[in-house]
Amino acid sequence: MSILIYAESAEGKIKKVAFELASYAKKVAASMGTTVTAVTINNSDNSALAAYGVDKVLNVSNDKLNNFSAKAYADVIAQAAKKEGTQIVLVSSTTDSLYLAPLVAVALEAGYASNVVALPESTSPFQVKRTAFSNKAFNITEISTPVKVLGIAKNSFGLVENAAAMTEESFAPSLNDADFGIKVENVEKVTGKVTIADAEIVVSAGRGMKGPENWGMIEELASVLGAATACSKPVSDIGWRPHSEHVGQTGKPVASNLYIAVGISGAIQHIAGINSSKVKVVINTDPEAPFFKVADYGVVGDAFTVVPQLIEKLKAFKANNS
Amino acid sequence: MVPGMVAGLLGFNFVNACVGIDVNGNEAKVTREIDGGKETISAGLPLIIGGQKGLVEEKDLRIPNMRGIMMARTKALTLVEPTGDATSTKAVKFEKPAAKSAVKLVNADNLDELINLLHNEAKVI
Repeated sequence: MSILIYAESAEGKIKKVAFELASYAKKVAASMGTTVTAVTINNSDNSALAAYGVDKVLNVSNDKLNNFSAKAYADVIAQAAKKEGTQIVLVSSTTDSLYLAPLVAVALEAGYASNVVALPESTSPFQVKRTAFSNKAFNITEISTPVKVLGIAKNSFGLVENAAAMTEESFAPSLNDADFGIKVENVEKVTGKVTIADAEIVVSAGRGMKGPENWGMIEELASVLGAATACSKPVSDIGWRPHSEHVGQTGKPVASNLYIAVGISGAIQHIAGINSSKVKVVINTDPEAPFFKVADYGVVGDAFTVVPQLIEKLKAFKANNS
Repeated sequence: MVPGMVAGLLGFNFVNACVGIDVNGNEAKVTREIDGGKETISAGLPLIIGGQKGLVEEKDLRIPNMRGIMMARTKALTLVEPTGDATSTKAVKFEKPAAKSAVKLVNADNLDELINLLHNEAKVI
């Protein structure tokens, strides 16, 4: 009857989102008098999960699962859930988790609530708070099925340390050919760069930059902060920046700790996509720019003078504070 | 959510975050966007794809012309009643987000203060 979390890993390490899931799961488990089980796939070192309250790890080791396959991974998670008699399955909001979550829900005949931002409002009836209307509001969703799948929104719950005496066991779910109907032929990944999804800090710029040739200072600012670079819709539409950098309602969502917007006016659709960021800094020449209404900190000024200065000062700051 | 569930219920192959697709007979080559890059995937039909921005280049988007729009008015519209069971989730209440406090403006000549606020107050750097 334990709570089950799918603990994602990459390059031999458990991802931070998994610790968020564990923290959430532990709180729910404690209130329901049960434990937390994590399922991991092809990851050798799962010890880090113990610090966040995971009581048991079901470790799946299978060469066929070396490449992510939504159907296969969903099958693994569903079988783990059945083995544990789980009623609540937690997944994160990474691209892979969003991909497999509906498949897990269907396999377990479970209601699925994505973008969950808080602990359940109540367990009977089961109600959770989620973001709605592209982050402009919240809704309380009731799930009526015996098994529930919750997708926890990134950076919404926080990490809660709760050391547990964790056990680990091998788990070998039976997988069939139908699970592998999709074949990954090739993966092209930009290595060494922080992705928007994983970044703690995102530096974003828009039309105020006047042209693609001026992006050097944005990339440098991002580099000093160890941040990912992002952009607004108009500049990705006209090809100044790649589609993959477009953040906003119809682009990637940003839920980082810090979001710095340079030369972006703050159209509603852009703000909707980045609203889950904890702290927003806006740099814009126009004091009437709508973005200042939702920003935490702002600088009214010309990006072409402000950003280079900020880069130099941050370099000095980092040198004095490492 | 929806494409995945449809695929799960129908048992079809499924690719999400699709930014490119090439169909050849009973097979499709699909480009999927992943964190920090792209994957090329081959999948047999029947296939459900969750399309994403970038699937069609802006310059290739077809806007219906007036003739097409006017002709559409005379085409038959078949209404199909949904059948099926109760849903397993429902929204019971909506809430507005908490009111935000006003922005703290920092002078462009005083960026040290911005760094100070981000480090000591917001604690994000």
